[in-house]
Amino acid sequence: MPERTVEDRLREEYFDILPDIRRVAWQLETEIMHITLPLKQSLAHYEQLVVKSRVKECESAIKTLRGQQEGNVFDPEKREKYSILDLKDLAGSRVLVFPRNGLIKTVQMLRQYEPFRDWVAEPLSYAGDERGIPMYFGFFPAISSTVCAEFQVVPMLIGLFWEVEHSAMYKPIGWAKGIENDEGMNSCRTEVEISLARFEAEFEKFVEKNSQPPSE
Amino acid sequence: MKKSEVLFAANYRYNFDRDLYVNYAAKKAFSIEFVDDHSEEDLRRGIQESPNGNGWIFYFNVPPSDSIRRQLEQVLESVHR
Repeated sequence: MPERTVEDRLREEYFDILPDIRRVAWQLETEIMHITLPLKQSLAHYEQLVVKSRVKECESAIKTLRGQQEGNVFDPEKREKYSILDLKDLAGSRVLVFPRNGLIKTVQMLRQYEPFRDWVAEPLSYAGDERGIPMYFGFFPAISSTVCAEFQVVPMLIGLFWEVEHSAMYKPIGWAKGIENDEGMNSCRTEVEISLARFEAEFEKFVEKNSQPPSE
Repeated sequence: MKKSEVLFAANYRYNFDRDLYVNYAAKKAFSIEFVDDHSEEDLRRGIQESPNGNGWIFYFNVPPSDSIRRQLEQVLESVHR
C-alpha cells in the first residue's frame, strides 16, 4: 500500500474540521451583517455595502501551506509540523463598500463590538492607498478556539476587480500557475488599482460638490 | 541592478511551480526566500560557486532535508529533460 503523503494527511485534517470552519464562517457573516445593518439602512442612493463570505477550499488551503515552504515542497519526514489550522483565513468575509469614504465608518462600527474589538489588524497592501486595506484576524471562542477567521473591508471597485484577478492569478489552474510572480501582470494590476482609487476619489469630490446647497 | 536581474543575467530562469531561480545547466537553484533575505553580493558568490558534479546545489534559508532535496531534484530534472 503506498505511503500517505503530507497532502493526504492535510486533506483528512481539513475534512475533520470543515464543520467548524463552516460554523465560524456563518457566525462571522451573521455578526458583520448584524453590526452593519444600521449603516446599510441609511445608505444614500449611490452608496453600497455588500458582505461576501467564503470557506477556504481544501486544495487552496494545501496550496497556501505548501507555498509557505521553500521550494514549495512539504518534507515527508516532518509531516507532523504541518497543519491546516496554521492558516488564518479558513473562514473569511469581505465587506465591499462604495464609495470608499464609507470604509472608515464601517471599520469603526465593526471594531466597537466583541469579538472584533480584540482581533489582530494586519493591513493588506495595495497600490491605491498607502494605508492599505483594513484586514483583521481572530477567533469566535464559543464556536472554535482553533479555526481562525478573517475579515476585510474593501473599496467595492477594488474588491470586484480582485474577485476576477485573484481567481486567475492565485488559483491552481495549470497554465496560469505562478502568474502572480510575473512582472508584466503585476505592473498592470498596480495601474488598475491606482486608476480605480482615483476614480473613487474623483467620484467623492463630485458628490461633495453636488451635495452642497447652491450659493445665493 | 535588481537581484532577479543578477540571476537572469547568469542564465537563471524563474520556476513558477517551485518559486525558485534555477540554472538547469549548472544544476543550481535559489529559493525566493533566500533571494529576498540575502545581499546581491551573496547571490553573486553563489552564482560563481563551482557546480557540484552530478548533484544539485540549493541556496535556501533553511538547508533542505534529503527528502526535500530528492523531490526537488526529481522535479527539476524532469523539467530540464
